Amino acid sequence: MKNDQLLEIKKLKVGFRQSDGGFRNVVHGLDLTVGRGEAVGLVGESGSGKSVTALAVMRLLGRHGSITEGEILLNGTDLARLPDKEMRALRGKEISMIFQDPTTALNPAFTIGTQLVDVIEAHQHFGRNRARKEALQNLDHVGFRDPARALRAYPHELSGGMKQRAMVAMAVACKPRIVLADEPTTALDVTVQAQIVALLRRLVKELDIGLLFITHNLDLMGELCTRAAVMHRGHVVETASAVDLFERPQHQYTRMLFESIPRLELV
Amino acid sequence: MQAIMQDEQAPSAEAETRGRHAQTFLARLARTPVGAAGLLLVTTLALAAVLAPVLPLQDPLLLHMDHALTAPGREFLLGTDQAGRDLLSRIIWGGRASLAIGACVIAIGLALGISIGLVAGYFSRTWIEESLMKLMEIFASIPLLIWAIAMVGVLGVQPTTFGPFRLSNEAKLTLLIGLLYTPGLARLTHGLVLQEAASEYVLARRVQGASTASILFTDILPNVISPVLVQAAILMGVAIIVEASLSFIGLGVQPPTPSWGTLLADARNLVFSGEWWVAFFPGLTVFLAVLGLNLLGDGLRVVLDPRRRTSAAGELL
Repeated sequence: MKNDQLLEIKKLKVGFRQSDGGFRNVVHGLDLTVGRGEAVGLVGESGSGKSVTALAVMRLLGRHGSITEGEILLNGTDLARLPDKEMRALRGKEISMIFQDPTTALNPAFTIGTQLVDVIEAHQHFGRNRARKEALQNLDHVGFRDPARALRAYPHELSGGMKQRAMVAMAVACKPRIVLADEPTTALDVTVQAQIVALLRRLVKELDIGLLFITHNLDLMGELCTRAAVMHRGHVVETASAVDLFERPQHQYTRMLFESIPRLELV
Repeated sequence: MQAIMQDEQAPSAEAETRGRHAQTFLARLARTPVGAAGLLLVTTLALAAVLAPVLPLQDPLLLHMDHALTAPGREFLLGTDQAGRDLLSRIIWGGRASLAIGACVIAIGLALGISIGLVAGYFSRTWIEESLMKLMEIFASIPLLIWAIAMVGVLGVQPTTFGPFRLSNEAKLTLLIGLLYTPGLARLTHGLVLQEAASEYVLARRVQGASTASILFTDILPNVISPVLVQAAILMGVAIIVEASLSFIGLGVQPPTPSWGTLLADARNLVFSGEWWVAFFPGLTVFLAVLGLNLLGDGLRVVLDPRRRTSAAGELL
């Protein structure tokens, strides 16, 4: 397992330039690995640096953010030091991302098909017809019962769950090695959350991709992931198998996190 | 699980209806009363101008001194001017100059304004935005007519040679007015892009590896174009008035070429002497053209409004 690592993040430090001219670190030396066909969770409270970590891996921190130290190795290539142009070629093709809110992550002006074909065309020069066929297969694969119809639909004509399915289809359209899912279920209701998690689990297995599942929902993490890292204030405080985290949390913060899950108390 | 999936899969029957609607954009525009009226006025005037050479009209430049200042009648439908030239023919031929100038001005303004607005909005809070928008403010700080008078004052009304280009007075004015329309359209685009660029789908496109140019022109532009087009239709009406104003004071289209402005200028001395038709019909034409473009703008506003589109299709699931 250890020699099969797809994504290796080593001692990653990320910070943002402040408006007063100062610089503030928000991720302090993070270590994380994701292997092939493995779903790894990254859990923690809001503001703990989970999303920033994902954006750092994508190298989309914006003008004010930067990676100050550490390495992000994707199959041995250090993304932290890759020229912008080469990084852009990797995005969508080797590494892709799913966002929290599918309602805003799809362009409202175009049909699902147009957007999906665009993604496929951008990285694999198939020609329009072949890309369309590919798009149909993609939608079929993520569980649309009538892919041809979904292809013609505008985002606002789909439910939140279907939109997130379409986003997942776009994320895996070019058969990336690794997918970062940043709270992909947070904007959805509970039954749909379970469906999306089931879909992600199936895709990880079938496509043999690595998945970094960022969430604050520990139950969903337990459903999907074999391992997880717990993040608190920019540090990974504990990395363990999902089972161990649930049964034998080592770190004080992990214990607090699990105790904070509201339980139905029967009196 | 299977049951839930099926619920979620309820297909969008109206997706196809909407597809059909998109194809009959003109039909939808014609179904709104203002849009239909605007479309009718504008296409009638534009068609007349385009077809002027094949229409059974008198020569607009031909002098019939013996028929000078004939009232509207059977021989001259809208009467003749001081030199006995047929007014109907001159109005239709004049439309060629006036409408062509209006259209070119808008094309220049749109091309520059949209590009500048897109780039400035996307690179917000950088020196790029700062310098582009400041440049726009400089253009906008001096009124259009003053710019035009200043330009004609410096370069004169005769054709000017810029390197390999020989620009007529009309071409110079078209370029100038187009340039001066840029700030308004750039500002409008800029404001809309600021909003759009913050949307998650822009980030999502970057995650998919799209280039900046492709995000700007294929993702953001379609989401901001509607209000800009509405504004452009209304501005084209204003451009026609500006051309008429400049030609009226002798700085625009030069005689004997007819344009709506020069026709009004020719009629200046006849307004109070009883030959009302010489001033009335060109004035009416300008009025109808501007009214038509404004109505068209209002119709576009209704048809292009994305919120209306959404409510028509309905939130299906």
